[in-house]
Amino acid sequence: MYLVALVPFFPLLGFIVNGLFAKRLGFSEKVIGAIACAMVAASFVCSAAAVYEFSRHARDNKVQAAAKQREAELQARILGQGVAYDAKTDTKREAPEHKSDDHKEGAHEVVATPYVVTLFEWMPGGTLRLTLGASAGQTAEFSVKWAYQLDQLSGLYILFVTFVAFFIHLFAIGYMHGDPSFHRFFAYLNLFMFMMLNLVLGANFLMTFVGWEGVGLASYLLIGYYLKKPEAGTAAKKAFVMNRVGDFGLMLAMMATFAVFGTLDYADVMAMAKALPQEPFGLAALSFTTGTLTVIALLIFLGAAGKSAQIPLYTWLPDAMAGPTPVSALIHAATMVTAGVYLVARCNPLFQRAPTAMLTVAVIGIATAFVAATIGITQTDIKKALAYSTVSQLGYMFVGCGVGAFVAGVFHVVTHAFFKAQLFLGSGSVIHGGSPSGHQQEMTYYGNFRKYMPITFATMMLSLFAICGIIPFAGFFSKDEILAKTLHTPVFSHEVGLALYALGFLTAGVTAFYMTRLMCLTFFGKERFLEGPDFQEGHSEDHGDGHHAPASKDFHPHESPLVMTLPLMVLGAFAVVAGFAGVSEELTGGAFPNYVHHWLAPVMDATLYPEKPVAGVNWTEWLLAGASVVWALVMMGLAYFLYVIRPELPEKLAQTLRPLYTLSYRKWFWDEFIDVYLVGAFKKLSLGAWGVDFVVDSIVNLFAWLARASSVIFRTVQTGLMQNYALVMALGIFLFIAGMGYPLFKELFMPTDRPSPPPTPQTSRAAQP
Amino acid sequence: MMTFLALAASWAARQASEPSLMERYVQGLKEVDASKFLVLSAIIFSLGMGGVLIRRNIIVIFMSVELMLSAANLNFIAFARYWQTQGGLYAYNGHVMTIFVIVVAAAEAALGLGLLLALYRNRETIAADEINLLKW
Amino acid sequence: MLLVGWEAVFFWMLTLVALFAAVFTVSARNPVHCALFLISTLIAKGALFLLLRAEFVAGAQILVYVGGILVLFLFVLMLVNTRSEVENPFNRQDKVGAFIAALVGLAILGAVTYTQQRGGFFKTKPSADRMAIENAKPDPNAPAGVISADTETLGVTLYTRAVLPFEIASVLLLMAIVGSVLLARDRRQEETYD
Repeated sequence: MYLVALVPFFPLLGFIVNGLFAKRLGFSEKVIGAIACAMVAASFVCSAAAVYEFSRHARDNKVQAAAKQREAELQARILGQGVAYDAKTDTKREAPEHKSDDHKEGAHEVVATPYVVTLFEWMPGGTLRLTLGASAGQTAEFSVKWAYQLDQLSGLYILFVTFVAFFIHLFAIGYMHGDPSFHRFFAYLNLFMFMMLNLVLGANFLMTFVGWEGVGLASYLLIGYYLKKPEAGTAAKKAFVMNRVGDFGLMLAMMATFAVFGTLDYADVMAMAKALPQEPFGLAALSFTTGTLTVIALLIFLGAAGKSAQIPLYTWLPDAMAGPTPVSALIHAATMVTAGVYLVARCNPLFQRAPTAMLTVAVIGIATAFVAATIGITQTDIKKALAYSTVSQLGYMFVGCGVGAFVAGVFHVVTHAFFKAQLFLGSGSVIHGGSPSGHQQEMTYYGNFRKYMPITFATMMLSLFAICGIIPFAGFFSKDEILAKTLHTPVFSHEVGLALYALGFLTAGVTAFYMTRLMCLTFFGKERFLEGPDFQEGHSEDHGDGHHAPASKDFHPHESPLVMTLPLMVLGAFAVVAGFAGVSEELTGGAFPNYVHHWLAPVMDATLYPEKPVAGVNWTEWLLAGASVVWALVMMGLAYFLYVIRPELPEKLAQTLRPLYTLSYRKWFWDEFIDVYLVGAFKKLSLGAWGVDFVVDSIVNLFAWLARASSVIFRTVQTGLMQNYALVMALGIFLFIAGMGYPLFKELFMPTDRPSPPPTPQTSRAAQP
Repeated sequence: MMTFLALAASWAARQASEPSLMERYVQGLKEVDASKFLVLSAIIFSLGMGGVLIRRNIIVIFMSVELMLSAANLNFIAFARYWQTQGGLYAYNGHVMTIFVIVVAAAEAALGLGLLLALYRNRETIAADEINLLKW
Repeated sequence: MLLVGWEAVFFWMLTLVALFAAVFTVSARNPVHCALFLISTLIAKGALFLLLRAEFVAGAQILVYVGGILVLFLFVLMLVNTRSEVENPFNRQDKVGAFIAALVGLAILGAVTYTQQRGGFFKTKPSADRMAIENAKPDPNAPAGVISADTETLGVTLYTRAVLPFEIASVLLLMAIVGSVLLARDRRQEETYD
């Protein structure tokens, strides 16, 4: 089982080798790429082996019993009771009211059996007093271990993360070909992988936080990878700063978690949280006395919103597209941005006890999904459009979590990782081959590329169907499950569920529309690539490769090499089939097992909202699913009509609906809002602070000035002439000897009443021969 | 007054019991003991120190330092000789020390003169009072 | 009593030489003269070492100081231009410096005098054993060119009790060599070899 510890180790090794030695030893691009890919591949193999081992371990009855015993002990501690449950005697413990009936039927309940590998104790912190929640007044040992935890959730995550990452690394070898700092790119990618696996595998909040900050760092480095592009640096800083806001919430959440539970280990916190009662709904829950868990959950969600680009912290993600396209695929679509969903799913016992937080998650999620989708309609930069699509899909995942369907949220993470990574890689392939400079991202200069890049086109079409939710592609199953669960949410009232569902349904159509628009502009219609700035005289864009002369007009877009198209094909294939891992049992009536659901069931807390057994095929579900498929198809047809059949219409529409168009094109003025109201207010505030600062500074400066004035004497002593210093030193030597010698001198030449020293002449005479 | 008389009396008594001043000087000239070496080395040491303090030429300052070092050497050897005549156990430590001092002096001269050349190459001067960068 | 008779006469002569040469070392205008006077005082001191039965140290003094270090000084003098220092050999603090150096000298002399006045331990008689060794007639059968007993004992001391400092001193010399080679390169050489 120590394989788990090897999973993050390999990318770290790759980072060290590529980062420190590749340039010095003069590795060629092939060697660097091979090292990076091999490390991720090794990581994937280790993950697969570890998950296989774990799946056998988790079924072990002894392990189950031990986990139950441990859970009972922890729950007794948090509730302030002695340990009453004993696995051997099997006496029932005193359970609180809301828990009792669940536990009686839970004899067959499968509990989470995380496998924790502790490498070393990281932060021994002594005994602390807990101050919040049920256990206030108790003491706990603060001890954070550098430990990796493999359970069903982290197992699923490491599998798809390493798998998708391997193919993105492979793609990057082709995409980054000829880049002057090839080794730096792959070193950063491997650093990202190391940190991402730390995030997912961390056994406690702090370990996750290490990965959380580490992926932030790697993201920062990779967004700003093109050092010569100023907007890349700005985007990197923006991403970093916006993530800080969220991280601040996460840090507060960690502190509060320790103050309540006395530990930061996931397994212990979640086991204890399962014993706590649900907190009240509403604003009353927003305090540490009545709603400890609500506050913690909201703070965690603030962190998750920062990392996963949710309202209000979403604007960094589209700007982050300034980085290389494989980075966008890996970090800003498939893995890092889903860390927020991971954290919320990981903390599902906390969230389920905080309905206020659940509603916040759901509302923020659906709002983000809708807003980002509407923005996506008008974007002309292919990567920006995809980025808004990512934000929108992340919103869906949070809706899933918010309505209590954590499994559906996580499942959407997985399918989304496949099809969105594929779409991004496809856009990379288009950017790579679509213009002479290989940097053209404006869809206005594309068109009819399906003639030139058939593989890219075909595979991207698969992903398009997946993201639009066409049966039986992957996106259909995950998105539809989220929508279905939203409608039947056990957490909120039916009206809330219906409202959420309606917005989600609408958003699904918008998604289908703008994704089809993207495909149409790129692969259909008139060929516009010769109008691009690469062909204009004296175009000023500096791509760092120094060709400024207009490119020759006999240019044709070309298909990418195999190293780039292979990942497209593999990920495209998974975008087709990945959905079958989690076919909703409502649809099939249990005839086809929902693997993802069964796999994740142990880590999802079912004490408050127990699973309803599936009773046959639910035809209402089929009706809803069919409606959404039809709706998506209609919107796709509309997009095709507008952008291929009547390409002059969108311009007219934009003129007619000017306000709406501007609202979408300017991203709902969110950046402007932040600039004016937040940054502006901050500047005004800092002006006032400057006044205070001036007064305080003046006082401090007065003392500094006094010190400076009084130091004139000492300053003039410092002549810099070494002989001056030597002179003073000699004077010191003299004073030293004289001071030492003076008492002796007095004794010798000024005799007092004391007996005089033995007379010397006798000695000297006696010494004569 | 009484004190003065007592002092005078004790001085007279000492004068009576001792040889005259002249006799003692001649005696001192004829018999050289270790303290003569110490006096000599003290004088040379202070001369060297004076050279370090007042000369402008850094090379001469170096020479003055060598003078001070060799004055110390003289002390070592004189004491070693003294312990030798007393049958001291480690009478040769003074010699060993002197040899080390010579070694250090040689190393110092080599490095110091190298530094000096580098200095001259950069500043075109080796006057100690024109080099005042030590205050920064 | 260290020296009597002719040895005392030589002592005074050498002392005078060493003192005057030392005075001229620090006071001569021309640095070359300074170096020559320094040679004189060091040779006189070497002779004093001989009087003090330190033959090996005396030899080392002459070889290393006079043969090595002073030659180095003269070479450097040859390489640098010291005209302004010749015209104006003393700095602005010369009076104070000389005064303080004299004070330090006086303080040391006071310490010596005090010890002397206290009866010290300098005037005691040599021990009988030692006198027996020193007054012994040389063995007529001894082979010519035999090492003196003092040098032999010094060697044994150097390689037994003082072996660690000895090795350290050798490392020090190595560092000095490397350091001076690095320091003495001119700019062109630095550019060529760095």
